[in-house]
Amino acid sequence: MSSAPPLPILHASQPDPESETATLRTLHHFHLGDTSVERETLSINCEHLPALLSPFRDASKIRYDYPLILFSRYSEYRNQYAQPLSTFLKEHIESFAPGENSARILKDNLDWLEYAIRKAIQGQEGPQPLHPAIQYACEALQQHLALSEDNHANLQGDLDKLIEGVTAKDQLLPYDRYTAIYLMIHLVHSRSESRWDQFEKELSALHRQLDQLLEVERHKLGDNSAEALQRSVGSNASHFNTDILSTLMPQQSATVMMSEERRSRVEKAVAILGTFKRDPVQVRFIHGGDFSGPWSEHPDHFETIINSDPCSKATVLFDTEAKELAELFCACRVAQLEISNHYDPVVHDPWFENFSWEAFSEEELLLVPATVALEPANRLAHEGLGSFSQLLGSGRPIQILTRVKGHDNPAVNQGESPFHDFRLELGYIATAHRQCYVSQTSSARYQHLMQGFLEATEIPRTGVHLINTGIQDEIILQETDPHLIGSNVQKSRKQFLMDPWMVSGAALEGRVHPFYRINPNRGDTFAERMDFSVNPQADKDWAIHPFSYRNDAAEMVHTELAFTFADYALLIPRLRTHFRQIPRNFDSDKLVPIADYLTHSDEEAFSLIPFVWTVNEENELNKVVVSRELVLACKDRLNYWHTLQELSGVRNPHADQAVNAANLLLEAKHNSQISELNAAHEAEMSQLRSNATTEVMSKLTQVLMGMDLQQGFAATPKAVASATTTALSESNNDTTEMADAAAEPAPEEAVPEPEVEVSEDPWIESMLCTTCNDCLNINPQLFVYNDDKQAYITDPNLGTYAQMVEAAEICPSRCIHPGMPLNSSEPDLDELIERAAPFNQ
Amino acid sequence: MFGIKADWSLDIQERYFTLDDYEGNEARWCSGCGDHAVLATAHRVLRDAQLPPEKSVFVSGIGCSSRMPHYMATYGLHGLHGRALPLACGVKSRRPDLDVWVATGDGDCFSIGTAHWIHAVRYNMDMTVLIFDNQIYGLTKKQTSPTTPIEFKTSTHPEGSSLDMLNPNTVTLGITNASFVAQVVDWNPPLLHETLKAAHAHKGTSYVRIIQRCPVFVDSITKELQEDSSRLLLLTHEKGIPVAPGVDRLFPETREHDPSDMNSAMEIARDETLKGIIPVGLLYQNREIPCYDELSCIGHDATDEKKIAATNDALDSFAI
Repeated sequence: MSSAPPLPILHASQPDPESETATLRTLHHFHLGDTSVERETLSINCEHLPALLSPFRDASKIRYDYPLILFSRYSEYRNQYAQPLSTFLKEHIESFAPGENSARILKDNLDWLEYAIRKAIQGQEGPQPLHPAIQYACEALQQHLALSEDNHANLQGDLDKLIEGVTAKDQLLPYDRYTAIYLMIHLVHSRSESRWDQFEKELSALHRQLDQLLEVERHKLGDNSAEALQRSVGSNASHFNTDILSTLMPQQSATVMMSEERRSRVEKAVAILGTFKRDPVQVRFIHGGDFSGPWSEHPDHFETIINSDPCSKATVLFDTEAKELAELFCACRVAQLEISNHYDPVVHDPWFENFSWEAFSEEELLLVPATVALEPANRLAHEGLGSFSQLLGSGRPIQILTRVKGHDNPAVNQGESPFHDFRLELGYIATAHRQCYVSQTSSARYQHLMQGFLEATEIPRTGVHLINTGIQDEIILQETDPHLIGSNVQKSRKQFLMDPWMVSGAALEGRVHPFYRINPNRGDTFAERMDFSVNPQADKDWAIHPFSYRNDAAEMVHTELAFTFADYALLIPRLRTHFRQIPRNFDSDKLVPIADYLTHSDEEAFSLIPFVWTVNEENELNKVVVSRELVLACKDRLNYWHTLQELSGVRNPHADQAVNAANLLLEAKHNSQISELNAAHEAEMSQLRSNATTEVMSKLTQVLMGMDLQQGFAATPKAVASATTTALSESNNDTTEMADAAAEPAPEEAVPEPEVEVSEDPWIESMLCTTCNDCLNINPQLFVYNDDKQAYITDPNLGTYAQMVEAAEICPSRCIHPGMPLNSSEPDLDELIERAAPFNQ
Repeated sequence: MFGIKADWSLDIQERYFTLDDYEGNEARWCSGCGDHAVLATAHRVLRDAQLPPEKSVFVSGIGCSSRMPHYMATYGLHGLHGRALPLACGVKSRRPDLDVWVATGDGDCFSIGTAHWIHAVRYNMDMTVLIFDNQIYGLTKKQTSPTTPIEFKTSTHPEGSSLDMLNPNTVTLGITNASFVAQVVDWNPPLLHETLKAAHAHKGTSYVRIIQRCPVFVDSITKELQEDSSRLLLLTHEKGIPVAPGVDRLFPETREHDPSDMNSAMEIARDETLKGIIPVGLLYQNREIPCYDELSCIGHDATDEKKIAATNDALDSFAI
């Protein structure tokens, strides 16, 4: 039903020899950075997109991973934490309506429903309640379809089941600049709540047991007061007169009591355990004011703190929180030791005196509210570098989130060209600290992002997350007001050049922002620590994709295009100055696709001009020339990409060299062996030739010497032939015997006939139903049609077995199987079962 | 690529059609008649393709099968005996934007409509032709039709039909420009559905002979086939009609047949007469044959001014 977008058209060039040299010269000068030719060249406008991305120009009808559903703790899908809306819709509907033909109308209109849900939250930032959005979309779908009564009811039934799968707390997360922050909040909450629920149960048990310990001590004092007795008896105390009981019981105290020191320690622990209250805030964000927005205005179990040095502040904050919790964890440990009577003051007192976050167990560390520093990339590369490095070296389990623009260089000052210096790689700096978790990722790939968050918050290490969102500056479009016909009034509109989600995907594809994760918990080597799996075609320099277009003769041409950093740069409005259009009727063998250009040496490349393919809004394929500055930036990116390839082992020059050396050694060894064998073979052959010549000559001499000129010639071949035949015959006999032995039938084993399983329950092979109405005429309650107007049995109890058998007999396609009777009191059952038998096989 | 999955394009339909949208009057064929299966399958094919009902037209001649346009909520044209095909060609040549279906039978097409059958196949206009072949004149109470088996007793041949039955498939394959020739039985809905779907998707005249039950007058003929499916030969091939798992078990006899091979198609079709083996599936398909509707409608979209100018030019050529 949906059709592929039309292929772009490449118009044939019509070379003009007169202007060719001048055009080539102008393009070359532009490429080399000669600003004087800029006026002679055509700049590119926002219509031009990289050829591979052109089909996705209109993002409104692209199905991608957003919006995400954030499952609440009450959802049956809570263990997945989050899932794309489209996946949820498909999987949830399949769970209650499996197969192609069930819930057909709903499945056929799933795209419409998804589109309506997306429209319902369009323009909203941050998580939105899912239930009202889906409810609205379902109602809108019913209204849109305006079905017949039966179909309306069927669809409503399916929609109701769909809505049942959604809890009131489930949320929809659209793609925006703070998606990663929302996802972090969601993940921390999803996991900390259950952890704290469990921990509080343990706390309560320890508290109760310590109380019992103190109660025993009180008894040892011989306290016979009415209150003490009431406490001892517990809930059944009302059955006793504790006042009288108190006067009757003898006053007697124990001889061995708990030491004062121990009692005081236990009482202190009881007091801490009894007064502890869970911190409702489970995530704290510290930022320098750059991350303000709607997300921070309505905190729900999280807190935002503004500080000019987020990394330092995060350290202080974590230490404060950890200190508070250290007292609680100490009390828990003391309680456990006291309950088991293993507390040894000599060993344990000094240990607890110095108890800090570094002594926390992994479980305890996971209970500390998450501390997250939000740092702009350029601050980390400048004034924040010191505290960033200090935090990474400290090992505190604090997360640092940084938004990275794929094309930007965080090391250059604001307003400077991003290609001014070699790019500073923050991920590489973080990796240099060796013991922290590093994730270079993107909000556009929620699974990679989420996996990084989950791993980093599970281990007692500092985590750095370099996140690309693809969000760029919006461009301003001038257009004529459609409401003022005939008017020239222009109005301006802001929009993204391309959907940020797509831009972020392009950053991954073009090696602009490669993904990787380094988890030091996995081992000591990069081979163990580094995950490089998500990058497309990771073993190549650039990802290469098939591309098709039509020429002027409407013929389809298939080719392949590499997606490079230069292609990505086309998506960044401020980098468009690095491109110029190549006149449509101009072509030259000096024009080279940039991926090929980059493979040439500087000398070879000097006379060449690199270009990238673009497609404009008229769906025409064009070439645009690339500036040398951008070419150098491509080389810089490629260099970092090669570094990552090497670290991850995808393409390791050391390994390649070792393999080459080993191959050379093996080859030399083999060649030497081959030479030796050849020499030996030659020697053997010479010997054989010499022996054979001697033998032949000897036989020939014998023949000649005793030859009967009448018979000798005929007799010899015959004898040879006879001998040969005998030998062959013997050989054949052997073979025949073997064949006979093989062909001899094996003793027959009784192969049991497969038993045909006969279903006890009646059923219809609906697929084979010819819609003849015969069975419905017998009993329209028992037999009904499905969405494909093919019969099935609703409930066998809605009809008699006789009707079932009659329907089976009359059914032209013999697809009704009556099974066995459900009601044993039905008359003539024996006869009916006999009639049903042929249809049950 | 770029995180885009294979199903990246959201298919937002302005209108959605259910089976109800294609259902016309209540079908009044006999109970157990194979026509019901064809009708229900046609509904499903249109529903699957989501074709607007007003963009489809069902054209028929005379006979039981020709009641079909009444049971479709599309446009319909119930024509004269044997004239279903020329009417359909007329519709298609003037309204190439319409999706044209033809419902005809063994009498309507293979007897009185033979001349039209031959030329319609030759024209290869883009339409789907359903031939409901119940091997009898059912509407007029059991007269011999061209495909009635020899010795079968009918109202017109009470001692039994005296001639061998016509083999319409060899005839169709022999017509110039035949581009889609398939045969199927009505009592296997999955195969019928896939065959009609393929026929509908084919650009050109899709000829589908549907061997169909008439439980009132010729019950014994198809009953034999239903009970002994070894007489049916399922044609399988990657270019042929896709057979769903489970459906093939209903056909013990299968043969791999490339539908682009005309000689093999003719041989298989001839075996129906020579050996009584009835092939089901796609006998022949050729996508390269031009469609006459595309040629005949050239200039159809010209403006009135252009048409008047052209007429005047033509008339001027007679001026003295």
